[in-house]
Amino acid sequence: MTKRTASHTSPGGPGRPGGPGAHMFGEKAKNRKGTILRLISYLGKNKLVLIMLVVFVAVSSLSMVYGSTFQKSAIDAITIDSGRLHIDTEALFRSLLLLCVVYLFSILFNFLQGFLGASLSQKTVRSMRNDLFKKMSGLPVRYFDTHAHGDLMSRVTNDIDNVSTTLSQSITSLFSSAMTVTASFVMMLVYSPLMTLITLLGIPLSLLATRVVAKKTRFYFKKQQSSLGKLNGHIEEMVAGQKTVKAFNREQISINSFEAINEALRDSSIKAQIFSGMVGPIMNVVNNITFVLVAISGGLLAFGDFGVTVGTISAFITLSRQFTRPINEIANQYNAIQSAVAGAERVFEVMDEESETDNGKIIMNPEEVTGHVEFEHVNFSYVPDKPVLKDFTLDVLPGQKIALVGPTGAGKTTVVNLITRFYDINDGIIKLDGKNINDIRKHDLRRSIGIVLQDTVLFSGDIYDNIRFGRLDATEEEVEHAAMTANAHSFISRLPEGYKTVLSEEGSNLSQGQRQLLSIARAVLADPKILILDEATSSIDTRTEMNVQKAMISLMKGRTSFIIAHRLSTIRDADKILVINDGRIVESGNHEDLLKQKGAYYTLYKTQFANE
Amino acid sequence: MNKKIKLSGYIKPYAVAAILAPLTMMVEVVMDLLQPALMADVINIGILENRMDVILWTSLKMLIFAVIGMVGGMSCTYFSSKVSQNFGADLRSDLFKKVQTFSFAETDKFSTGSLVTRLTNDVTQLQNLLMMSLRMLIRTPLMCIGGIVMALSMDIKFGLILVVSMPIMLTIVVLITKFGSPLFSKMQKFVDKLNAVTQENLTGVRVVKAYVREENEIEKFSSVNDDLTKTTLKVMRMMALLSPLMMLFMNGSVVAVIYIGGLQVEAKAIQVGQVTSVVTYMTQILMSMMMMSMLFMMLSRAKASYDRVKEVMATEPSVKDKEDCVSSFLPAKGSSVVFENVSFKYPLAMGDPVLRDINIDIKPGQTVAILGSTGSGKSSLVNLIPRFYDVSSGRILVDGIDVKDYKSGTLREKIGMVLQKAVLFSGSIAENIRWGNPSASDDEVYAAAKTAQADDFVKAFPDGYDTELGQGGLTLSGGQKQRLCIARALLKKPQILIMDDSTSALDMGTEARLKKALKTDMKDMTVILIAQRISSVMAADKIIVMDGGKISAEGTHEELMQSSDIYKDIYSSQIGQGGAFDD
Repeated sequence: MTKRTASHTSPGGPGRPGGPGAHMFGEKAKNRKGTILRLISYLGKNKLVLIMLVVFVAVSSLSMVYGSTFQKSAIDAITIDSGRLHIDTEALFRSLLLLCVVYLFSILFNFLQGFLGASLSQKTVRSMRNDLFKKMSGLPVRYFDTHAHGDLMSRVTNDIDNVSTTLSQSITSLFSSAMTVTASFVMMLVYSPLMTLITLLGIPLSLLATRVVAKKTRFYFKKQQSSLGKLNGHIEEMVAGQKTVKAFNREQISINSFEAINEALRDSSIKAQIFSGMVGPIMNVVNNITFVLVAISGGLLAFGDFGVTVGTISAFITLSRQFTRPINEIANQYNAIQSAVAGAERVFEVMDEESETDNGKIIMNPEEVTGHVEFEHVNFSYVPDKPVLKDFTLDVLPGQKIALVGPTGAGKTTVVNLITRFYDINDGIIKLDGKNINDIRKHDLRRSIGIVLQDTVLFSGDIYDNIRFGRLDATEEEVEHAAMTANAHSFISRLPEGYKTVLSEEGSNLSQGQRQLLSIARAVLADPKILILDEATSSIDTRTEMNVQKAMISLMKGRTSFIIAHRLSTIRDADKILVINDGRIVESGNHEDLLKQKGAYYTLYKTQFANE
Repeated sequence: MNKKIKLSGYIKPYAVAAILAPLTMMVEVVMDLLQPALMADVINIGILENRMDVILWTSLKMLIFAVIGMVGGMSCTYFSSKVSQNFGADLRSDLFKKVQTFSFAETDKFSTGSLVTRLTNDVTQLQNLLMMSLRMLIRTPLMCIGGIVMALSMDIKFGLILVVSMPIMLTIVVLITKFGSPLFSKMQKFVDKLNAVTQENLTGVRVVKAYVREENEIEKFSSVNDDLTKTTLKVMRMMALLSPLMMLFMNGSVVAVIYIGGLQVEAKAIQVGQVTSVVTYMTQILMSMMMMSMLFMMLSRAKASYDRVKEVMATEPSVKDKEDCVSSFLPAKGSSVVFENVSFKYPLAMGDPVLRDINIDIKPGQTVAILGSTGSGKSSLVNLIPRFYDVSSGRILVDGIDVKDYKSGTLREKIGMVLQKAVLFSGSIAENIRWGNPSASDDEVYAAAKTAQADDFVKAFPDGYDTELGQGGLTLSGGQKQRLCIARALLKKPQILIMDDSTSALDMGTEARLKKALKTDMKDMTVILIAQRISSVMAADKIIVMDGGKISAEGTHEELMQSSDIYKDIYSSQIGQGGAFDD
């Protein structure tokens, strides 16, 4: 399994952010056995329940099979032939009574097995879902930057759902199938080894048939799931970008590319269904052939002195059904099992991704951090051979306000990605309070940093919940106070339900500026030692910004702050302005000094007012 | 939901296969039903009377029937797969087309996540149901009735067993279906919630990580997950009850068959062969009933999906083209864009309208800037021009024609829109710019990028214009995204360019160069721009200052410096104070 992971992650390759179709090309020999084993190991987590379940299934299936003995004697009791003219009433009653007892026993355990099986399967799915989500929480930012969200969504929902359905339907039936097959086989041997042998003739036939069909089915199911993932990605992209789609009259083109994926899905799903559906009739005919074989051999043997009676034949018919039905059942559920295995494979694919590592051993109390940040000869590139930061060196003293300016794409945001360790540097050292940030526990590091991004992110819940994202144990007063500091209080109070207003998906009932104010309030509440404002005020109008600015100035007091902005008003008050170009610091100093230098900053400054 | 939507219409194109599927299934059922009867002959005549010829002959018949049955079963599979998967694909396609016609009022209502689920999960549910139905809806009742007929034909007394067991079985099936259905819809709700949490965490990774909230989000997820598991468990436990109950009846019936059979054999009414075959029939009957109850469960589960799909289908876009709409380019006359007493309120919003009594007149070739505080209605105002939303009252004219009289495609063809949120799509950079004009030549693409100041950074990528962007252009910086969006709009060569705060992430130098390039390359274009920076708007022919959904002032920079306090405020906040011009 580990080998597979390695081969999967490496071709992520240069400059190819895996689009929705990225996993499509992984069609090589898939480790189906491994996937199934892993699924089973998931079941094994509840060992006690699993053992109990096995026992219940065993008791239930064995007693059901054992019942055939009494069925045989009951039928023999009512057989009237040349040898006997009346039925054996006493034997009949005795057999029927025993039959009832055995059946009741079997039914009771069948119920227990179903009950237990349900909780086992659901608990398994629950822990799988939790594990996947946990895994996703632990994946590095890079992973999310390079994978289509729609496809990931599809794995958490569609694929796990597939696994869930199958586990719940097939888990006990798989157990009991195995049990029943074995027990029936033993019983048949006891009755008549010869007839058993004949009955078994059907087996290789069915094995051959399922094997051929299975191969095809798996291929098409995999294709179907991958098309479904792509489809998900496309729908999500187009619906989320609806305004752009409409503004550019792209509805038709978007429909066309949808159709292309949909056609691929149609094609693979028809084939997947046809092939998987073939298993049923094939098994049915094998069943019937077995039936015929039993009839012929039973008839022949009944003539001779082989101990074969009508009861034996009747019992054999029941037994051979019990023997083939489980196989039949698996065949019927083949469909589901195949798509579950395909789904599980995609789920495990995510689980096998490399998590964000944290080798940091140094424990830091975020409240005691002074906020001394140093970059020493840092080199970094997102994609090999395309350096974004080159030999970047910077010393920020505690409480300093640093403004990063420079043309877009110069690497300003990258600085943020590195301090927070969203991405790890290639070489050099970044230090916080004199310690290499790679050695600091990530959580401690991030707890000492507060960020406000240009793209605001809000979560479902009310406004309280969203601001409290900054600090969970904050009281309502503290939240409101933070909102006041961020100048968000007034618009919140104007909402019909104030702080209790529930935000719709991604906060679409608020304006961009209002959303930004909320995320600033969040940072205020978090009270971090280091503050990063990445274009934080770009979508707030200047009048509102003026007020926020005042709050920001008091907020920034005593904190090391990194400000990425292009508004002069935001930059001017910084202790140090860094002009970044092409991954290097080309100038640094305060506003006045830089203007006097008449260098890059001066030009930049002048061009803003070039129209004057 | 006044319009009746029939999903059955999606089966119609495949009607032949849809009829053939159950028909061929009938072949399989009949063959299956004949087998036990033949077996009775083998036992009664063949074995009990020692007739080897009967055994062989009957067996051969059984074998032939089995093969015929297989052909029937396979054909049914073939036809039912074709019908159901085609049905699903067609339905999905129509749903997507429908979603594409939605205006924002509708998408806001459904939300992205829910639309994705409806188009994938829900359609798959329906598709599975259809396939099961085509295979089983005929098979189970036929098997049931056929089994009863065959059993009774062996000996009418066996009917006694059925009279007792059938009503009880039916009651159980009905009860379980009844209690199961509401649980299923509850389950679906939790699934939706789970998806919502996942979605948020995908889009908000950076924030979650920066605030070290992974643990809490995991907790949030697992609590919804617990709810879902609990509900699912309830459903499944009910199902777990079903199977042993059915077994009880099945096995009870077998015992009864042997008992009654024994009495009848004693009475010489039948022979033991009939008894064994009735045992088989009884199993077949009860198995079909069990299948039927399963089918009902599936049906109730699919009902939720059906409703959700239907809801999308039945939703009519609130912004719709008129029948006699203007779909050709008429020579522009008079003003480029006119707002006449426009008021606007978001369809789902509560409270006051976002825009009130807006009157604007924009002449062709003019550059008009809109300024105002957060929530003053700037974005809402420009969103009305390409008719993303319909005005609540008043009207908007583009080239002298009411926007509602245009075919929306024609209207939007005239307008180049650069949105506040820079949205890019998966595909290469060139493909993204070509959104503006799919038939544009490479040179035109480069030219648009040059004007938008994007050419330099794009060329710096190893793959240049062929660089693949992940979903949403995730690997680009905010400013780069904005410039690509501008290039995209420029490639359209629109009559009207709307820029909704779309240079906010550009540094001052780039923005200045962009402005200059726009002036020289696109002279005749009407430009409407929303901006925060006063330097971005000072040169505009007209500046509109918005406040609380109303126009508070309009005029040129010089005029506004005289007349508008708000404008002066903004000016001094950005430029006036601090005396920065000491060079």
